[in-house]
Amino acid sequence: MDRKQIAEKFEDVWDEIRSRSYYIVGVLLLVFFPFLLVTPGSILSEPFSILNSFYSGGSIPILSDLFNLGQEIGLFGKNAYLLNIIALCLIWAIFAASWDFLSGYTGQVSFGHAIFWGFSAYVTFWVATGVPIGITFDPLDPIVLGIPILDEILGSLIFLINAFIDFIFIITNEILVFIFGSNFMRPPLAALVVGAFTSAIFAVGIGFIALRVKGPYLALVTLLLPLIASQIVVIMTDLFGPKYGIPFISGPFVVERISPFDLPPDLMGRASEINELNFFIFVLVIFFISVFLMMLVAYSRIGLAFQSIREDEDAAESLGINVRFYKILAFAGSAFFAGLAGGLFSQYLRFTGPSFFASSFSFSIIIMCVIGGIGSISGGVVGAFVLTILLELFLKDIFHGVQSLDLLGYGILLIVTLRYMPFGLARASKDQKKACIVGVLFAISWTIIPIGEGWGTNIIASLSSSLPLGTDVLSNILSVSFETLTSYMGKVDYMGQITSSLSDGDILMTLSFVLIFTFGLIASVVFFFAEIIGLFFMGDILGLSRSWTYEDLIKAKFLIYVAVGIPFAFYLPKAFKKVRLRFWGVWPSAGRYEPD
Amino acid sequence: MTKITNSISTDFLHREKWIILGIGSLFLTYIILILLVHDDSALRLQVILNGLVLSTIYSVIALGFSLIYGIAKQLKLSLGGYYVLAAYIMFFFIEVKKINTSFDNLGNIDGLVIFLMGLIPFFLIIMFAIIFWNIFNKHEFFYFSFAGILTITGYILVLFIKKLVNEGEITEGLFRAFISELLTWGLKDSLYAGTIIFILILTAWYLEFSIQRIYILSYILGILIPIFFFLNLPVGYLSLMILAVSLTSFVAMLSDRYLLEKVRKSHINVMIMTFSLALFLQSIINLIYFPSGGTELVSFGDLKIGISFPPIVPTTKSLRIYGAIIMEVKVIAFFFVIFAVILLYLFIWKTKIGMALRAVSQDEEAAALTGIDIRKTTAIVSAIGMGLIAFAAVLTSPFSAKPQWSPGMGWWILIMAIAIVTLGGLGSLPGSIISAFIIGFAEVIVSSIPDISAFASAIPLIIVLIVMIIKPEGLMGEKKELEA
Repeated sequence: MDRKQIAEKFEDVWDEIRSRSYYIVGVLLLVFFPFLLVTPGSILSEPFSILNSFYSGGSIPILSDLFNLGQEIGLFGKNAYLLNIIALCLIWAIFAASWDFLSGYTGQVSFGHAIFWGFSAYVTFWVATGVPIGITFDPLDPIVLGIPILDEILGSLIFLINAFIDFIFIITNEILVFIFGSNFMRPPLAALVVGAFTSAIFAVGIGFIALRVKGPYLALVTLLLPLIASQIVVIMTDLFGPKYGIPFISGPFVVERISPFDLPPDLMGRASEINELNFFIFVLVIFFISVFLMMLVAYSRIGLAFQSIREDEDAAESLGINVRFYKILAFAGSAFFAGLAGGLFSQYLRFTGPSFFASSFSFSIIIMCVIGGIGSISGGVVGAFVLTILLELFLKDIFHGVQSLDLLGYGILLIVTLRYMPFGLARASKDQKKACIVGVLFAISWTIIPIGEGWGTNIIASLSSSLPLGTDVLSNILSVSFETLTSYMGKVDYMGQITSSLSDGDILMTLSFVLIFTFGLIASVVFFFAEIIGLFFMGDILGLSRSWTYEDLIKAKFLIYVAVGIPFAFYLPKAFKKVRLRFWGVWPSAGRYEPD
Repeated sequence: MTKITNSISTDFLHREKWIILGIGSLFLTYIILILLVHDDSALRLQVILNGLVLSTIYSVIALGFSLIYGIAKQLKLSLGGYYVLAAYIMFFFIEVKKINTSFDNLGNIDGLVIFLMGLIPFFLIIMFAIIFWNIFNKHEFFYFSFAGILTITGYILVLFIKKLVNEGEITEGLFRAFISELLTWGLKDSLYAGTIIFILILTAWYLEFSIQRIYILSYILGILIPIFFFLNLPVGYLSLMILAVSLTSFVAMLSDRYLLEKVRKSHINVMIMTFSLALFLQSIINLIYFPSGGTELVSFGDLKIGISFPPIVPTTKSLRIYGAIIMEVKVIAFFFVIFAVILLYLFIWKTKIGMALRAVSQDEEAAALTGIDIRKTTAIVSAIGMGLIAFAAVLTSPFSAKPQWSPGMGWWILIMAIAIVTLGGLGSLPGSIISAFIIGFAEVIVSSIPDISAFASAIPLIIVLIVMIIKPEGLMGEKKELEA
C-alpha cells in the first residue's frame, strides 16, 4: 500500500476521533472517574507496599507500571467497587459496539445478538475446562447418545476439538509469554480468544441464513435464534451443564493460583482485590484494542462497502460489490467482538447459564446503541456507559432487590430518547446536547449542596489539603454568610459541626449555593417541587424509603434532579428568549427582533 | 352497485396448490402421528381437543399481530406487554372488590391503590362534567347514556328480585335491604356493566356508525345485560372482560398516537420502540405486583395468590367427552374465539371502516387522496389488533399453564406470535390462522409424546426457522421485498 493511502486512511480515523472528541473525553473521564472518589483509608491507596508483589505475583509488567503511575495519582477507588462497575461498562461497550458494527454499519438488523454472547460464554467454559461437561471421553466406551455411529463420530469430534484446543493453548501461551514476559493463568485467557473465533465461525453459518431474509424479516428470525439456543441448552444438559447454569468460572487472572509462594504474607488476604484490578486493566486494554479495530475496519474500504450495502443493496451489487461476502464478513466480525465480550462477561460474573441467551441482553445493547446513536461505533460505547452506570450506581441502590429493574429503566429511557431525539445523542440537535450536559451539571450541583457526609465530603476532604493557606480570611467572611444561608434550610443536620474555622469544602459549598441561589431562582421552584413529588412517589407510595440509607436517598434525589434538569435546561433558554423578545427585542427598535 | 364475487379464481388453485397440498399433507401426518403414537382413543381425542383450543388461541394472537402489519405496516413487538396489561387489568378489577382498606398494615401496593382510589373522585367529576355538558348540547348523548343507566338500574333490580326470591321475606325493611345490597356487591358489578355499555357506544360513535344503529345497539345491550344476569349468566365477569379489553385498546391507541408519531417511517425504529414499550409495561407491572422479586405475589389484603390465576371464573368444572377431559373454561374460550373471528371478518369486509382499512392496506397515499384519515385508521387498527391480543389474554389467563401467570409470560406470547406470523406470511390473515393450527397442533402432539416432550417449546421455532430459510415470505405472504 502506498504511503499516501495509509495517510489518507488514518486521516479518516483521525477525523472521526476529532469529530467525536467530546465522546472520547467523556469516556476517558469515566474511566478515570475513581480519582474523584479516592478515600484515605482505602487499602489500595497504600503506596508501594503492594507494587512489588505485582511483578512476582504474575501480573503484566507493562500494565503494572501503568498501575504504579495510577497509584501515585490515586486512581482507584475503595474496595475496587468502581473498578468492577467500569469493567462492566467496558464489556457492555464492546458488545454494543459489535452490534453497531453489524446493524448500524451494514444495516443487517439483528435482534438476537445474545446468541453470540451466550455461545461464546459456553465455548469459553468448554475450552477452559478442556472437555465438554458430562461427556467424559473414553475411546473404549463412548456412550453419549445411544446410537453407536453417532457416538463414534461425536467421540472422535470431541477428541479432535480437545487436540485443537491444546494446540491453541500452547501457541497462545508462548505468544503471551513472549509479549508480556509473564506466566499467568493461561487457559481462561486462551479460552477467550478461542471463544471469540468460534463464535465468528458460527456467525458465518448464521450469515448464510441472513442472506435469504431481509429487513424486518431478518430481525424477526434473529429474534428467534437465541430462544431456540436457550431451549436446546436447557434440554441437552449432557453437553451444556445443569439447567441453572455453571458457576465458578475462573477469570483470566487468578493471582493466588499462579504463585502462592511469591506473594508476601500480608498480601494473601488481598489477592481478590489484586485480581479485580488486573481484570479491570485487562478489560480496558481489550476494549481499546477492539474498538480501535472496529473503527479501523469501519473507516476502511470494507466499511465503505458495508455502508453501501446498508444504503442500497441493489445499487451496491451493481457497482460490483460482493454483497454476500461482505454481509457474511460483517456477521463474522461482529460476532467475534460479541463473543469476546460474552467470554469476558462470563469471567466477570464467574457464571455461565441459559440466561445468557435472554432477549433482554440483545435488547440492552440495541437500546444502548439507540441512545448513543446508531451508525457510529462510539455511540454504542457512550450508550453502554450511560446505561450501565445508571443501572449499577443508581437504580440498583434506589430500588433494592426489585426484579427486572434494568428493563424498566432502559424502556423508559429508550421511549423518551426515541420520542425526542430519534437519532440518539450523536445526532441530536445542538440545543438538546447542551441541555443534556447542563441538566446533569444542574443535578450534580443541586445534589451536593445539602450533603453533609458521603461523596461530597470526600471530594472536599481531598481538596482541602491542597488549597493555599490564605483562604482563611475568606473562609471567615463566608462562614457568616454560610450560616445565614444555611439557617434557612431546615434539612442541614450537620449545623452543629460548623465552628469558627470553616473548611474549604464548606466554602465551595457556599459558593455553589450562592451561585445557584442567585441564578436559579426559577430552578429552585421546579427542583423543589420535583423533589417533593418524586420522593413522595418513590419513598412513600412505592415504599422504597424503608430500605434506603442516606446515600441511597441522595442517589434518588440525583436521579430526580436529572430527570427534571434536562427538560428544564432545554426549555429555560427558549422561555428566556421569548421573554427577551417580548420585552427587550421589540421595544427599543424593530431591528433587534430575532426570529427563531 | 356492483356485485362482489366471492368465488375462488381458477388461477388461485394453480398458484397455491403446493401450499394447499403441503398443509393438507401436514395435517394428514399429524393425524397419522396421533394414531401411531397413542393407542388409547381417549388420549387421541384429548390431543385433538387440546390442539384445537391452543390453535384457536394462537390464531387470535396471530390475527392481531398480522392485522396491524397488514394495514398499518408496523411490526408491533409490544403485544406481549399488552397481553400482560390486559390480564393484570382484569386481575386488578377483580381484586379491587376484595381490597382491605384498613390503614394499619399497609403493603407497598396498598399505598398505590389508595392513592389511585383517591384520584377516582376527580376523574368522576371530570367525567360527569363532560357527560352533562354533552347532554345539554347534543341530544343523542343523553339517549346513549340513558342506555347505561337502564343497565345499571335493571341490574340492581334483578339483584334485588333474586334476593327476594331466595330469602322469601325481608325483616329489616325493603328500602334498607335494597341499599345494603346495592352498596356491598351490586353497585360495583352494575357499574362495570354500565361502563361497558357506555364504552361500546362511544366506540360505535368513534367508528362513525349511523345514529339509528347506535340507538338500536345501545337499547338492545342495555336491556340484554339485566336479562342475561337474570338467566344466571356471568355478566359481571363478561363485563370485566370487555372492560379490560377496551382499556388495553385505549392504551394501544394512545401509544400509537403519541409515541410512534416520529418513528412511523422506519420499520426498525418502530420495532425498537414497541419492544421498549413492552419492556416498560411488563416491568412496571412486575414492579407493582412483585416488588420483592420471585413468583410470590405481594397481594392485596388477605388474598395470597401464587402463580395461578384466582378461581374467579364462574365455571371451573371440567367436561368429559368420550373419556377426554377438558375444562369448561377452555370450551368457552374456544367458542368466544370463533365468535371474535367472525366479528372481525364482518368488521373488515362488511363495514365502511373496514373498507377504509382495506384501502389503506392496498395503497396508503391513494387512500389518503380519497379522504381517508390515515392516522385515524392506524389508531383504529392498533386498537383492534391489541384488543384481540387482550381478548386472548383475558380468555387464557384462567387456565394458562405454559406461560406461567407472571409478567414474564408476555415474552413467550410475543415469540409464538412472531413464529406463527412469519410462518403464515406477514400481513396475511388466512395464512396466520392456518399456521396457528400447524404450530399449535405440532406443539400439543410433541408434548403428548413422553420421550420428546421436553422439545415441545423448541419444535415450533425450529419449524419456523426451516420455513424461513426455504421460503422466506412465509406460506401465504406476498413475495414483495421489504425495505428496512
